[in-house]
Amino acid sequence: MLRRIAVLGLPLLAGLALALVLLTSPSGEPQAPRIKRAEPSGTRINYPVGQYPVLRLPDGERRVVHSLLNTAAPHAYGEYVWDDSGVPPGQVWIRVDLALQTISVFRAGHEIGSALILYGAKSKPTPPGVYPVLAKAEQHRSSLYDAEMPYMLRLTGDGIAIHASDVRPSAATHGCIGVPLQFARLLFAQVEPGDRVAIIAARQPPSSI
Amino acid sequence: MRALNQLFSGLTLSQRKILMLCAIALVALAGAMFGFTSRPQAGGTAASAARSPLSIFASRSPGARADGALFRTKRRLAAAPRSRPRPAVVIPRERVLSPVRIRPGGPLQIAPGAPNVAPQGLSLDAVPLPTSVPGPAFRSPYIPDVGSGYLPFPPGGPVIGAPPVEGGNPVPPPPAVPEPATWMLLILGLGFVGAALRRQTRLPAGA
Repeated sequence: MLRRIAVLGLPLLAGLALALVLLTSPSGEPQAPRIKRAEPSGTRINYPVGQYPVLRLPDGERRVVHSLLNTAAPHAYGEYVWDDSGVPPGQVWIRVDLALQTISVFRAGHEIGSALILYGAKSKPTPPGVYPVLAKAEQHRSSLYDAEMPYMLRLTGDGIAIHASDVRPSAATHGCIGVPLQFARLLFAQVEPGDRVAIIAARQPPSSI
Repeated sequence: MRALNQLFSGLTLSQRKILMLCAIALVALAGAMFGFTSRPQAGGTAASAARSPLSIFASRSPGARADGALFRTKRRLAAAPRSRPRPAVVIPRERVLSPVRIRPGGPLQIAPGAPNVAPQGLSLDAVPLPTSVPGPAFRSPYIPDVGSGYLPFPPGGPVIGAPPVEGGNPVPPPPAVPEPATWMLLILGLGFVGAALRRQTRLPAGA
């Protein structure tokens, strides 16, 4: 009897312990960096040469990140961070994360700007993907919505664009990506037609590194 | 300890192996659990030195947008003020003139010493009138008294009756739409014709 309990019970106990560990570890791990917010001093988080992280875009392309802006605290709605001092000229690309409601602007692999965004409502979703900037217009008035859209960067032929908006909580757009006005002005000066904008879907699991 | 020995000796070789493996796995799991709990302190500094871009992006975010977010960025076209006010709904009203007309401001009165008042226009109400005027009652200028020479009817009174016939056809042409009596006559005649026809067909059948 004792033998049977030992033979059957011990593996069962081991399996239970394994399941417990597997269930608790994924929820415990992402909280660790959030509690610990020890950041290196300076305005940038520079990655060591040879250990550059790679961001994967929705179309499978991989982009190397050399440095990020040293802001890890949550952004406020309508505020932005911009610092391109010391960043060499180079290829500009934009990463829009719908799940995080953030936008990041990269130049030559270095992040030069970051802000919170507005994106399309559920009924008019912003399409994920990688889009080249088709056209840019400093002063644009939407014929579809009869609304001013300053510093517009058109992404699709059917009207999806990045433009200045009143970025505030629990608001959404008709599919465009809304950014704060000053940020839109700075972004407008950086971006040229043909530069790529990666829109990461809201439901897509984080895919990087 | 003795019980364990007894237990171990009573097992076959394969059962012993399984038991040993389970024991080793349990020890390893305990070690792993200890490692997980102590990891934030140990790996915190290392992670901050080279945190992944995604975790930095995530820490900047206020989180996912709440459900039920509305697009209020763009002002609705319908809510915008219109350049021209919307025309008010007009309900047509028919005005029926009364056969009796009452001039506002009471009965019209004209002083006898002002004969030129009437031709001067219709602004009679504005003419200041004396409050107390001696003499006969005043008349409307539109119905002047007989003595003034203007008569609405020829002398001898109005002519009542048909006007004098001046040759040609005295009978007026019949109206295009028949009178009700004519219609009745027509229907009655048709009825008679029908009744006659019915009688005619019924007689041979009965005979």
